[in-house]
Amino acid sequence: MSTEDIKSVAEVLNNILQPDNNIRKEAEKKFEMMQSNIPGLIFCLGKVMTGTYCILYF
Amino acid sequence: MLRKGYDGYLLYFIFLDIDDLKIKSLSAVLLRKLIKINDHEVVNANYEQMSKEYRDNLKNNMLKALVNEKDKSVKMKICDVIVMVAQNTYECKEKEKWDELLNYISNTLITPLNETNIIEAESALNLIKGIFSHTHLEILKGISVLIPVFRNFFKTNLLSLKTRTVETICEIMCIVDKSHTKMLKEFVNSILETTFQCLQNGKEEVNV
Repeated sequence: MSTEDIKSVAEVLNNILQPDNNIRKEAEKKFEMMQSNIPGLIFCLGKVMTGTYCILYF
Repeated sequence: MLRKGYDGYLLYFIFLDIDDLKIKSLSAVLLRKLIKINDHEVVNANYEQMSKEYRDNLKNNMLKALVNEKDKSVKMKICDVIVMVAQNTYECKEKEKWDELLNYISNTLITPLNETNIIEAESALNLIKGIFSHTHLEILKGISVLIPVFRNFFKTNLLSLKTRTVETICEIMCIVDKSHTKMLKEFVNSILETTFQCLQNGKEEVNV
């Protein structure tokens, strides 16, 4: 996993929180796609939660 | 795109700066949902697939997130994630333990209460409530330490802390045998008093 992956997850979450319907729906679609890699997604969500430091490379 | 795999990772250290509370909060909610144990499951399917190293890393990260978080709302959501990780941990076929979590809880609760660690105390109570049904044998070993802590919390005028104490005691009383229930009997008046205060102060109760 890279910092870019974590940033892209954070960006998707940020867009899910946007009031604009189109941006939100697009972000929700992206989040659905990200669920094709649950381990990576769990890892990135954990990192977004912590704010944070250590990164796993698969 | 995210690459697949629960195994075979190397550890690197870098810095990121994601401080938006809403994003952190959403992240915690989504993470909890991804590892939630559904009605037909004993252990979450995603958790089951994780290697031991991956699980350990997740546990360490969640505890770090909890310790570092200052915002109460996000902290409580992190507690919810930790409870879900703990439930998976205790229910998985390897019957893993999570001693660091129990140590965190006990260290937090035995630290004298002051203005700066009220949220930590509340989060520790929240964790006990969430994991007690899985760890009651271990937690009950320290019941003699917990009782003075509860007594102390009831002496404060912090309704949120007292409400969480009530929730925790009620969870304990639902599970323990008669001898332990007797030990908690002294809190009946405090529980009633706190319930009454919550009724009087609906707003604070909502914030809990």
